[in-house]
Amino acid sequence: MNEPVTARTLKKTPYFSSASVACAEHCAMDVLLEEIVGIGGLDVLVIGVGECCFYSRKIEFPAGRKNWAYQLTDTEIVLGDLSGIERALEEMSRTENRIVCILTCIPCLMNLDIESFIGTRFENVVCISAPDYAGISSYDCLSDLYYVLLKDIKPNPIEKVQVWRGGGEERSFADIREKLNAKTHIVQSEKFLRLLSHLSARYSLETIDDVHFHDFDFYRARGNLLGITEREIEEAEDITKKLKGLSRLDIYAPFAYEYALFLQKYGVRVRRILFDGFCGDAYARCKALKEDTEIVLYHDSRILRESEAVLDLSDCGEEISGLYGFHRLLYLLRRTLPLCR
Amino acid sequence: MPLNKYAAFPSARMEAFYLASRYRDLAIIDFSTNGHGVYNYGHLMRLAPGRAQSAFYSVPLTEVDIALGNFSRLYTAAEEAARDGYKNILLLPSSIGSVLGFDFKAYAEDISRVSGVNMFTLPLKLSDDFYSGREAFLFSMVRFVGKEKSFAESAFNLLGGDATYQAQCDHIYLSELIESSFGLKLNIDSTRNERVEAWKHIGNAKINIVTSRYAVRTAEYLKEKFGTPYVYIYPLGKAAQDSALREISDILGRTFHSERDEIYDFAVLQFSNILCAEERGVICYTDTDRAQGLKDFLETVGLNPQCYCTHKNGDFPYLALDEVIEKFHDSNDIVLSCDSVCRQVRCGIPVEYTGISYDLQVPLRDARIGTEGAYRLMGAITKKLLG
Repeated sequence: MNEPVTARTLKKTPYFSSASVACAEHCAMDVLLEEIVGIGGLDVLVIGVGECCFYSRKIEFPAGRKNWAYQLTDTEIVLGDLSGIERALEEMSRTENRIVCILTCIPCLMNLDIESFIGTRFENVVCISAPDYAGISSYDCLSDLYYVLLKDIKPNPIEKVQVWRGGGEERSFADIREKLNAKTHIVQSEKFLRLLSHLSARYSLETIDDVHFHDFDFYRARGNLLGITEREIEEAEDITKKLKGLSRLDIYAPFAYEYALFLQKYGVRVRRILFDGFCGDAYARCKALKEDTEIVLYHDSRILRESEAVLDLSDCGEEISGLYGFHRLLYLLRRTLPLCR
Repeated sequence: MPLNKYAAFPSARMEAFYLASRYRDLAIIDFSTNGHGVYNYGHLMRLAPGRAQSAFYSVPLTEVDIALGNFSRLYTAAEEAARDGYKNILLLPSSIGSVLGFDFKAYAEDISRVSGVNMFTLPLKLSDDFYSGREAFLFSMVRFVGKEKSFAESAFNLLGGDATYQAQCDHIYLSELIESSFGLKLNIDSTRNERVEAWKHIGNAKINIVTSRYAVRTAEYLKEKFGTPYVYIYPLGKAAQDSALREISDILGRTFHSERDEIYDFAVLQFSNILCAEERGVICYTDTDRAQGLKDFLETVGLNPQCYCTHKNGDFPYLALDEVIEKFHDSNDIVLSCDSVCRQVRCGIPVEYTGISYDLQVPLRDARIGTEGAYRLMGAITKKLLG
């Protein structure tokens, strides 16, 4: 049985309560391949060792698209000979598709500077480093993927609002490019936030971060755009005021860190948060919490029994994930309200 | 060329893991990055029916571990395995370990000393192929060998095969054949053995039947240690089967009389006629054992197959998987190979399984060896030729 891990010092590394392989995360290479396979117009070259080459094959790409792998030899690793990779990319570049070159653990570890090598040689190739030993969650690489793919795009902004969710509504690279030609972007998935923030700064687009929770004035100013009514905001404010009466609150829910950060801004005493899915964003948000907030990274119902007021939404992951921005916040507030009675 | 457009074979580390995963009393610790720990585990269901037996522990390396040479979590994982009741632990070699020069042998020895477990590793290099992985794992079991009394007085061992259910079926077939031919009882079958502890009885056998070249090294060791003779066989078809039984009988000092099988002979005759009419060539692209078996059998039916090997060896020319696919992609010849190749060629018949496809593994007998294997093969080729 997994023991809870209380992070006494928050570190920017994954947390493991047990070495037993149960539901371990997929590696970054696999996460990227599963994302890219759903975006038409993209080919992939995975650069790695035997295991990377073998397992990258299990993601079958549609006809007309390539999912190739390059298995580095000892000589290439030690001597940094990239001529074989160059030949592979030359062969791949004979189509119109853009190529995503995924650098796995070994090439990153050995600092084979493939990105610089590719540099100006291949205009249609982008590189993304995906070493699984780095960072916190394998899924953090998705943010980098969209950033490297589209950071140099020059959008033609038109009066339009686009919503960016994680569901993969876009069918192709061309679709995503086209979608960027809007003046206003509502971002509801963390994987697009870095890209949109970057393009907004360069091209005077408006990007609304609907991933994280904001103060009520923020939502009031954007109510029409985000589909929020004044009544809903008033309700949320009212609940938040009532929650200040709790002497301490434990939150066990997906995105507990985000909710805790919001509540703490409004003076609610959050003692402890428990959540699964520690990732780069969670790390950043947890760092912003009050210092005495206890952060528990694996769930254990025994801990919950010790508390006075516990918001246990461990079974509501799907429901919460289906809501975005303010409506997610409102849902959490409504679920917390009974604890005040 | 190291470019893989179509498919790849498992690495030596992966293959060793597949073989080790059968053992119920052997924990496996993977000290690398997340991918290896997860995929290794999930892949096992595609090799054989039923759940994997062993306990798997994955210690994903982080930047801090690499930068500071921090192995403490490896020690913690070993303690966890020990608490879970495992005395024997295999520390899987890893690609990162190979590149960074981790001395896994030293760590295994130290952890054994500190934690009171028996931890060992395998001397595999970064680019070693799957066949080397099989050899390394099987030979690592010699640390457990003994001559403790087993239940069977007059016994034989079967050594060889890969990690698939089909390999078990091959050994079951051979086991029944040898039992019925010589009255010997099976002692240890390396494809079905689930206990490290069982190796204590391996020295009791009268003979070791080796079905893979990679197992010869282990057989040589057992011969030196216990004086157990061995014979290497991979018989496909009746002629090869009889020849193998004759070799075994010579070693045992027994008599073997081959008997005519009219049904088999008639099947071969029909098959030969079909081949003559169709005038197609055959390409074999398999491991060295199967390549030899196929070659010997197909020559008895009048074919002269082109044989290539999936790994570097001394018997057949080696070709990379992509090279074979590109060479025979549009060929009308029959290609006998693994599932990964057969999906890419016009007339492929899978005779090996790399497990990249999502077939449901069920315990239906599927021997590829002996007369049963020959029937299966002749049937599959005929179906491919005649539609």
